[in-house]
Amino acid sequence: MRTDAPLLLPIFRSRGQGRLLARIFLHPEEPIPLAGLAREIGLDATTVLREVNRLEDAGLVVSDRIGRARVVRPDERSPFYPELSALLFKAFGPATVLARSLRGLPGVEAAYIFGSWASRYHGEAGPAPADIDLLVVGRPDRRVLARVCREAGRELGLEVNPTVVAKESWESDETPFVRSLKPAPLVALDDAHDCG
Amino acid sequence: MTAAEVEQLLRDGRLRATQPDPETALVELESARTHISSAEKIVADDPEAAFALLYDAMRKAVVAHMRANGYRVTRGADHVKTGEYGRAALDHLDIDWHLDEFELLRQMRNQSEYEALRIDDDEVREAFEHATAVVDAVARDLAGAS
Repeated sequence: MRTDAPLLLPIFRSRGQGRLLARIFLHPEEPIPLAGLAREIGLDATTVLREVNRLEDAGLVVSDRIGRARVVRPDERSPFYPELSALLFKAFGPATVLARSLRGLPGVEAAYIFGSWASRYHGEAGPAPADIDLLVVGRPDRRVLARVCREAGRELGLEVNPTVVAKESWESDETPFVRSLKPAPLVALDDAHDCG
Repeated sequence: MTAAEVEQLLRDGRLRATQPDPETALVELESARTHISSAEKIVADDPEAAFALLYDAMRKAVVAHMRANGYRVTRGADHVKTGEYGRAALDHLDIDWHLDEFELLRQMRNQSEYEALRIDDDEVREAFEHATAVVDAVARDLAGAS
């Protein structure tokens, strides 16, 4: 299964390859079995096997046998490791970092990335995002949210700009802002993004 | 000024050193004061615009301090980096509480631009306090340095 090149950082051969690398490189402390990798990034097992073989041949990842499973992790001895990690983090990290930052924050019912980062993530061409537009549905403490976003932005190297919308407003489509956002590209920050 | 924290921002590439320019800094500070008085005039009719002016007054005061001391933020996330400089460089001025609110005000101003946030009277009143405190403190510090 071939996917288009990722437009957030169109130097990878396909979006699937970018997401696969991101999952492996953004969580070096959590080596993942190939079957789990395929499931998490939504590619078929054959494609994942082919991609991982190619990356291993190139010395970018290593895999180990644990029981019957083949588990893959980044090869930290690769000369490309630090830079590749940094690129992947910047291109694919915001959904992961923000999902982690917002997890368990009182008053947050749901959260989405919108704006240019979400557009690039979904394949719309355009300039590289200068910031991350974050929609938070609920009633979080604004000061706590401001601090969380400042820390996440520092970690990501991108400004994080949160917009808070009450759950009722989000569900009722009562404001022009909410109505304009619903059909726009959104990246939901749910559990799926906790693993990149 | 906490020199070590400012040095860290320089090392992190958040700031860069430039020629100190106290004259332009005073012009910027004056502009910040004008924003506060303009906000007072329009607050009853247009609290969102008053809030935006007050945020800008706060930001310009911090930028004025930066300029007078020979620093600029590097490209990208300018306002966030300005807030970082404020917390690092102005902590001896006893305005920590106001500087801590800088990022909150920045985010609220952004959100009000999406029409997703109505600024209420209490929020504008607090913004007046923050802006006035920061502008006054920077003015005192720059006067003391000259």
